[in-house]
Amino acid sequence: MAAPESGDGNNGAARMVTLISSDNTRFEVEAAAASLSQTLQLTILDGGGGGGDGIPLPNVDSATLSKVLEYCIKHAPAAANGGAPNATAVDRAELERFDNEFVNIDQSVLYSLIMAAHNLEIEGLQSLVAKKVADMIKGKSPMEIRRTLGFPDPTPEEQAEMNAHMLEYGWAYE
Amino acid sequence: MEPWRRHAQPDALSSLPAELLDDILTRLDLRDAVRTSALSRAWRRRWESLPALSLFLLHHHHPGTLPLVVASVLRNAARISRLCVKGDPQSTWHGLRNRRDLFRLHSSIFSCLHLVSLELQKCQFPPLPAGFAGFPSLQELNLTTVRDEADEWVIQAPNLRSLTIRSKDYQGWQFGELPRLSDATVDLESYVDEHDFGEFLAGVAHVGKITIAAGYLPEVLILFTSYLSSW
Repeated sequence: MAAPESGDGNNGAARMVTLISSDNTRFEVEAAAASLSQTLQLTILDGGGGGGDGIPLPNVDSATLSKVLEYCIKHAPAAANGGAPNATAVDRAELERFDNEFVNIDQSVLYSLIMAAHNLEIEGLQSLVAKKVADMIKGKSPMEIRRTLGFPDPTPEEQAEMNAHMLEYGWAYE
Repeated sequence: MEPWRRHAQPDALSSLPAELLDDILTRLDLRDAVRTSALSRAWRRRWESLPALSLFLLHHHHPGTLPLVVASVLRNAARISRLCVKGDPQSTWHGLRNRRDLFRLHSSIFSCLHLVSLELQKCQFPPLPAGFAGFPSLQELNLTTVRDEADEWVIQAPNLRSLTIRSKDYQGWQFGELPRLSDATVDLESYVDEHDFGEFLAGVAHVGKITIAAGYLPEVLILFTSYLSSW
């Protein structure tokens, strides 16, 4: 038996749009998912992105775009419900589990993602990554922060400056 | 090569636009934000220009140096839009002997004219400077156990939407013009008789949603309702 939403006629078929990454890879995705991007939403509302046209995204490479779309597809149903006020606790827990897993990735990918989220105006994704990076800094010593974020160990000169700073702002280093 | 160096691209983070770095750093407590000074020379003063600050004080902080730090932060932060300071949870209202006094906020807060949101808890608020006309952009004000150093304090904020006052007793607040206020919560443990509570509450009587909690004298509420009916 067919599910009611996949019924006959045009009503059931979700509208698709095509996005083209900076390295010319084409991604076909439901308009509802792509519309999580405020930037794309306008183009899509104007009827863009359909058929053979595609929307070029010169600032986003294919690896980043596929990750961005993974987020959008997962979050699109909740976003369609206006932030899902009637979502069940199970749905919300599942989204949270997805989010935690989703940002458990290399830092270089995190930075590309937050840039893409910023350029495409995907607020939820930008917050998610910003929170992840903040969590990587939280509660750490200066040396741990440097190491976590991949900064080289300080030169003796830098170390002396750091020590002076720590002396001045002692309360922040207790 | 140590594992943490695998993705060593120190400037990947630094090369993010300022807006995104702000988005990341404003999620940190001020203490953690200050620690990012250690990253590099370019990061040394980065935290000073953040548009939002939150500071949670713990009981072991030097009581002497911290107010100065907050003062210097606020002085540098004319463009600061959100400020949240929560004092030592163990500090007490009247600063009894052997107990800690409430954290004294520096008067440089009055130069933060771009504040949109101000949340204070367990703090002492400095006296308003003469002729202070209020925070013009303030939309959200939350004062929880905040003691006012002066006797009277007029809350003036033409754009205030949401106001929350939770306090042990009345701290001499009066309301100035609050035309945009839509949501007010007033929660007092006790109220000093000589003040006219009805008049005090009338200042917020025009809001869409008002929550009042006061575990005492019912006649105060009668007074208030009679004031409302005459409003």
